[in-house]
This record gives sequence, structure tokens and C-alpha cells, in this order.
Amino acid sequence: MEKILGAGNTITDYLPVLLIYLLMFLLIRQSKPVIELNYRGNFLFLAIVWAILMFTGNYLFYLVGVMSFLPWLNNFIHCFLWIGICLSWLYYVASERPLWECFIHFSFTSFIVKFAEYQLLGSWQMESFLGIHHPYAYLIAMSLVDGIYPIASRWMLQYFGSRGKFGLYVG
Amino acid sequence: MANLSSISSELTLQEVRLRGLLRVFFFFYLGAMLLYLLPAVLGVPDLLKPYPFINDPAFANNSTIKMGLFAGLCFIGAADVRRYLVAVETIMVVMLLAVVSGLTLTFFARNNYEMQTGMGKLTIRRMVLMSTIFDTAVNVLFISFYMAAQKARYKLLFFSPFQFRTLAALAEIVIEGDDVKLKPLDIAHNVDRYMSSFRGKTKWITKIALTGIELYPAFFLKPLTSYMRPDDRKAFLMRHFYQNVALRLAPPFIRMLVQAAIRLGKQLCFMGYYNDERVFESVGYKRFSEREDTPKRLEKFPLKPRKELSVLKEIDINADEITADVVIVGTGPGASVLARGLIEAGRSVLMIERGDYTDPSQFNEDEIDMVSRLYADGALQLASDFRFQVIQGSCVGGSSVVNNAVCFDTPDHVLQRWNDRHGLNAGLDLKRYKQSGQRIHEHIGIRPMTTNDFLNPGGNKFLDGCKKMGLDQMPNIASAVSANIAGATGHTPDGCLGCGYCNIGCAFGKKLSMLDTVLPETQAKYGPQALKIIAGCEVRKLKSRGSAITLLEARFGSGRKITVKANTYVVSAGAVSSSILLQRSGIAHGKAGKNLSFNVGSPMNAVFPDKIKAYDGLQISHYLQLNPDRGYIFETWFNPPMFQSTVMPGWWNDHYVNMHRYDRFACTGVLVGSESNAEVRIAGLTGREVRYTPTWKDFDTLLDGLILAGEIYFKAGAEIVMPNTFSYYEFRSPDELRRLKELVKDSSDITLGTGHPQGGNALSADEKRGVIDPEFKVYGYDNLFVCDASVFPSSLGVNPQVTVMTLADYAVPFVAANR
Repeated sequence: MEKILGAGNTITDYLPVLLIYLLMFLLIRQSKPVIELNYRGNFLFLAIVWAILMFTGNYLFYLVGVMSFLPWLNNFIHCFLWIGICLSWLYYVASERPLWECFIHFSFTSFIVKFAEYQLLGSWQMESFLGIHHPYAYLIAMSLVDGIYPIASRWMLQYFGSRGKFGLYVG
Repeated sequence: MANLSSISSELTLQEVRLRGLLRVFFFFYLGAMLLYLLPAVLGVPDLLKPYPFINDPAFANNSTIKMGLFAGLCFIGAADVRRYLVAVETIMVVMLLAVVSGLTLTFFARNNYEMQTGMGKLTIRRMVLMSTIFDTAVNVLFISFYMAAQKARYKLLFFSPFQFRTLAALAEIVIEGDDVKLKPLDIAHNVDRYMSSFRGKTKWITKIALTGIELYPAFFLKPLTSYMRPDDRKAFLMRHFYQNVALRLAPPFIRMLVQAAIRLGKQLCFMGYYNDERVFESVGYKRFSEREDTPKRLEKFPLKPRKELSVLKEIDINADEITADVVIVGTGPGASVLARGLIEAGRSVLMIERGDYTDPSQFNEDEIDMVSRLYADGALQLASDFRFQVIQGSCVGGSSVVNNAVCFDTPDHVLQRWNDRHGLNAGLDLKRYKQSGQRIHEHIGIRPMTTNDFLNPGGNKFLDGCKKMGLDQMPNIASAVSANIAGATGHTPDGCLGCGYCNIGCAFGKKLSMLDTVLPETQAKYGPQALKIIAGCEVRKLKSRGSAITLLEARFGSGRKITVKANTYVVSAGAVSSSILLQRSGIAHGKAGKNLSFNVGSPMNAVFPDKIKAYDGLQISHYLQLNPDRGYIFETWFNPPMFQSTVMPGWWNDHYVNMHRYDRFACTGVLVGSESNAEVRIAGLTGREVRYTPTWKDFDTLLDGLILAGEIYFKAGAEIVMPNTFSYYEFRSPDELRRLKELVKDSSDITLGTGHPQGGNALSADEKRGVIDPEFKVYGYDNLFVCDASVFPSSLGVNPQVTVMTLADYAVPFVAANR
């Protein structure tokens, strides 16, 4: 159970996390509450690809020793709900902005959510990271990694969309 | 055509990069080799002391060998990336094995001891994982550079280098003769160009087929196909792809796959060879533009100015949501006639066509180019067992642009069967139906072809044979076909020029397709606002609320989606596509796509002692219809070399010899109106699967027809007749030919195809039986109609376009009244 929920956690500890996701989601979709027709395929593609990539990547990087262990339920909701739905919607909202702005946007929102998980579930902890001994070093670094989402997404959509793959449309 | 055999000897930029990569990794692996070897010999330095295995001679030996092997291969490969490409391929294969081994050990190794390193504890499995990740990254690098180098070297547009090489290796032995005009690489390059020239859902099957052909020898512990010597390659293919299939030595599923792969592989080679102009003279073919009497023909039947047609492309559509009065899916004969009728009745029409718009001024003599522009999936649509080919046009004007213009009225016995109240119960008002037929005859310009037209010379041979057998006597009909081809008007002569290009679009405006007649005439008379056509846009789904269709979703080739809201929706996309659309939309669940039928065809080829030049005339010019009906009809037929090569019997040298007596060949297609035992559904990896196996009765009927066709040709003086069977047979007498039924056991032994899929959304007054009611409205819906060959309650047995148009004209009042 520890590997699924995390040390000392119960199912009820996850409810506030889900609430935070919901609040962030509502904030994110304020300006564009409906995904337009020609973006729906792109949204689905990004949501699925990122969710699966991050879910497996979190575990593989833990195996390699680069990341701390993320309990399975935490990993699942973080990847499929937060990254898959919320960040993919954030990309839809923000993708026309300059990349540096998107990078900051994604890193900051990711930091908020990771910090909440850190406080509520005790995840995203590592004594030191890249030689920096500070409890938030690892958390901040992982948030910055999420800033790569818009850059990589833009590349993926262009690459696959221009080849007519997966029903993507790049305009 | 590009001449790849004179490829520049200079390396491309991508090959230079590959060479650079190999050089870098040579030094890397050389260093790694020393790093493994030296500590074990000279002593382990402090830095490496946490890793106890470094000191192990067995580990050092194996690692040195591995690094040394890679270093050696990099060194050899870098010396000449073209000549020693196999060294690079070996690196990729060995590295792939290293990755698989690494992953296996990472997850399943029992010994997982820990080491204390400067960065903390490290387990051996984690270390193996890190090493595997590194190997993976290096291999990805090698593969990317290798692929880029090969694609640049051969200018590949579609196939991977692996598949391209297989195709060239296949071409080397499939095109086997004394005076082969093209090198295998040129043949493969022609095919690559063709496959890249069109969009199609089934193109990937050719890649799978070639990959399968390449890898199949590995199951028998033999080198891959393209690595074999040509003699060994031919022997292997002959045994495992030909003999084992023909003699049914392989298990049924393997047999089906193997047969499909080699059939497809052969077809590709033939396309790549016989469409190349450098080959034409050797087979005795001349393009229409180069024939001696072409100027005289053009003088006899001068070209007339073509009518303009306004067609909208994606760039012309500004909004993603469009509204219309009536929207019709498709622009084929049924859709076009219906559109005209609706506009005359005061409605306005938007037509959405999946295929692209090709202006007839762009029609040319290149078969490959025209097939890629005008056909669905480049004519690669195959049944689920890969043994039956369904050919359909996909362009503005639909199949009328690529058909042979042959016109038959709906046979009376078929109408009777359709209207049988205790049977199919179509509920047609026959008097009104006949009136519609009459209108179609007048408006579309249907007339009997005469000797004034330039008919297929092979057809005359067939007719001659019919006469000698007495088959031309009433009540049989042995005659030139009726066709919607321009004829004389008043004192102005007109007729068919006999170019032989019906199936790749008539560039001369003589075949009166929808593109030349109904569509531009309607637009000219009522304006482009009354008739709008959007091309290159596939309708994907119909959405409904209750019993009303509320909108349709369509998608351009770029991926852009649009929606259309209309008052009335008509599906007229052809038998296969209409059924797929209804199924995808959840309409007529359990009924749409069932009871499909075809005019199943197979050709009988005949060789004559003299040159006939059957290519030099109207493609389908004559027919024989027997009375009482025997279940089949004959239509003489011939094609330009590429198409003809795909239906020419024979393997290896036999096929080559046959193609080199191309100008002495005549050919007749035997058409059998099949039982309604086929089905189309959303399934398989292309999302569009046709399931069909001829019934024994249909198959037997077809064989009877082929035997009779052969006998007619013998009477006409043919030396040899050949059906298009998997095993090659030459019959030199009627007695030999009568053995056909012993030799051909089922549909896997013979090539079957159709250009006439029918049914799937049957018209019937019985709601349990039909998808549409006698007013062409889909049961359960207020504003949805279907009007094309998919509504046929059973197969027609003859060419369907007149019936399709007649039904469309008949349906006009019902659709027009739906507001």
C-alpha cells in the first residue's frame, strides 16, 4: 500500500490534491472554455502521449536514480489528470504565445501543483539534487522540466501534423 | 523517369554525416576497448575501484571483444559508406541485441549486488540499465543517420531503405528476360515515386508486404531476401511463394499472407517497369500522342472547348462551420444527376467529394500519375483476404471519370427481382423508373458505338469468334457496346478517338463523364452558388439528434475539419464508402454494409499469330450477352502496358515473354453478377474491410464463362489462351482449356476483381430488409437519403452507371420535397 499511496498516506489525502487540480483546471480554461473543432485531435494526442510518457518516465528515471520514487496513485493522477488534461489544455490556451512565456507559465503552474503534492502527500522529495542541498531544489528542478512541455509539444505537433499522422492539424 | 543507375558517385551530405559519425564512434569504441582491457592487465585505478567486475578477466575479455567489434565495424564502414554499408547494418543489429539483452538483465537478472560508489550505492541492475539506455541512444543515432543517408542516396519518398532494397531485389528476378530495359533500382525508384504521389489508407500494406518478403527466409534460417544471390533468391521465392502456395503445402493462414505478399510485390515491380516509357517500344506499345494516325483521328473528331467547372478547395473555405440547403456526399454519377434534379426543383446543393479535383486539361498519358490522382487508395483497395481487388474512382466526377463508359439499362429480370413483393420488395414505380431511364439516355448522351468510332481491334477478334460459333445470333447479343461517348450532332462528326485511356481519364472530352457534362452544365445554367462543390474533403461522420441529422463532420487531407449543417443530407459516396459512413455514424446499425455484391470479373487472355494492337482503340468496345442468361456477360477489354501487366498471366520469364507479345494479345473480361454475400465494415487495420469469397455457384459460373471465352478466341484463330491464374497455364486447344475446372480449385487460384461494388444499403419497402425505403430515405431518419450503387437490392450483372443515374433521377422528387 505504501508503494501505491505513499508513506503514511490514505485515500482521503488525495482528495485535496484532486481539488487543487480542479481549481487549476478551471483557472486554465477561463479564456478558452471550449476546444475548437480543429484542435480536438491535437489535444487528445498531446494528452495521451504526455500522460503515458511521463507516467513511464517517472518510474524509469527513479530506477536510474535521477528521480525519487513517486507512489503509483500519485504518479497516475499527476500524469493523467494534471499533465494529460490540465497541461494539455494550458497548451491549447497558451500555445500562440512566445515559447519563453510558455516555459515560465508551465514551470510556474507545475510548481504550484507539485508544491501542493509535496505538502499534502510528501512526494517530490529528495535530500539534494544536482549537488544542491535544499528541500525545494528537486521540486523546482522538476517544475522547470515541465517547462519543456510546450517546446516539445510544438515540435511533435509540427512533425507529425505535417506528415498527416494521427489526425493532427497544424494549420 | 529518373535514371538511378547513373547516380552520382559523390556522397550526399547525409552519407558524409554518416561517415563522420562512424569515425567518431571508431575512436570512442577504441578508447572503450582500452578502458576495459588495460585495468585488468595493468591494475585498476582508484576511480574504478568501486566497480569490482572491471578486474574480472572474463568481463574484460567480453567487453573488449564487444568494443573491438564495434570499433572494427565503424572503421570498415567509414572507409566506404556505400560499399560497406553492411558493416553499418551489422552495428545496428548487434546493438539492438545488446539493448534487448540489457533490458532482459535489468528486469530479470537474479544477481543484483550493490556497489558503493562516490555518488552513493549503485546496484548492478541499475548500472546495466544505464548502459542499455546509452546503447539505445547510440543505436537511435546510427539508425537515424543510416536512414537519412540511404534516403538521400536513393532519393526515397515513400519506402524505407530496407523496403526499397527488397523491392529492387524482387524486381531483379520478377522482371526476367533477355533484354530488360531498366535496372532494378530504376524499377524500385519508379514504384517509390508512384507510392508517394497519392494519399491512401492502404499504402502501408505494400511496406508490410515487402518487409514480409524480406524477412520470410529467416524462418528457414536463410539470409534475408535482398542479401541472397539472385539465383538463390529466385529459387527461394519459387519454392516458398509460388510452389508451396500453388500446391497448398503451407497452412491456410500462412498461404494467404504469403500469396498476398508476392502478388503485391509482383504488381509493384510490374508497375515500376511497364509504366516506364523506355520499355514501351520493346513491348510494341505506342502512346496515343505518338501513333501515326493520331493527327488523322483528331482531324476526324476534333476537340471541342471544355466546359468550366468551379470547384472549391480547402484554401477557399474560410469558415469551419458551413450551412447549406442540401448537402450531397460524393460527386459521382448518382450524386451529379441528383444534384441537377434538385437544383431544377429549386433547391441549392453543396457537394462534398473525398477525392481531389483534376481538371481534364491535366489528364495525361502517364498511367501511374493518373491512377494516383483519380483512384481511391491508388487502386490498392483489397478485400480482407487480399485476394479480391475493388477498384473505385475517387475524384470529382467519381467513377464516371475512370470507368469505360459502358452503358446498360437495368435488365428487366433484375427489376422484376428487385420489385418482387415476396422477396427484395424494392417498391419501385416501374413506369416512373422507365421514364427516368429515358431521361438519362437523352441527357447523358448514350449511344451505340459504331465502326465509325475507333474501337478495340481485339474486340473484332472476339466478335469474329462469336460469329464462327454462331453465338451472335438472336436472342444472343454480340455487338459493340452502348456508351456515353460523344457522337455526331447534326452534321458535326464526333466519336471516340480510341486512345485507350478510358480508365485514366479521357483527356479529349469524348467520354461524357460527370466532369464533362452534368456538373459543368448545371453550374453554367444555374450558377456556382446553386451548385457548390468542395473537393479533397472526406465526410467522416453524420451526427444526429433523434430522427434528424443535425450536421456532418468532414476533414481535408491536411487534417482540418469542417462541419456542415443542412436541411437535407444525401449520401452518394459509392457502395463501399457510403456503407462505411453510415456505420461510422451509428446509422442503420446491423444492416448498413451487409449484402454487398459485385460484378466479379476475371480476364481471359488470348495470343494471336498476327499483331492486333488491342491497345489502340476504345478499351471496352464489344460485348456478348447470351440468352437465356447463363449468369455472365463478356466484355472485350484491353489496357495500356502498366495496367495490362498487372493482369497478365505468368511468372518470371513467362510474364516477360507475354508482355513482349503485348501487341498480339486480346483480352476479354468475364463478369458475373455475384450473390449478395459480401460485407463491408469498419474493421482491419485500414478501418475499411471488404469481406468477400465467391460462392461456389458464382465461382463455377465464372469458370464456365472463362472456358467459353477461351473457346471463342480459339475459333477466332488464337494460338494460346490464358486465364489470370496464380499458377501459370497456357492452353493451346479447347480440350486443354476444359481442364480449367480441375486446375482452379477456389478463388485463391485465380485473380478476381471488380470496378462495380453494389448494395450494402439496400432499397426495400420492408424495413427489416432495407436500409432505405422506396423514397430513398434511411429508415428512422427524417432528412437522410442514400442514392448510389449501394442501394441496389441485388447485383445487376451488367455495368451499373445507367442504373445508378436512373435511380438518382427517380429519387429527385423525394429528396426535393424534403425541407
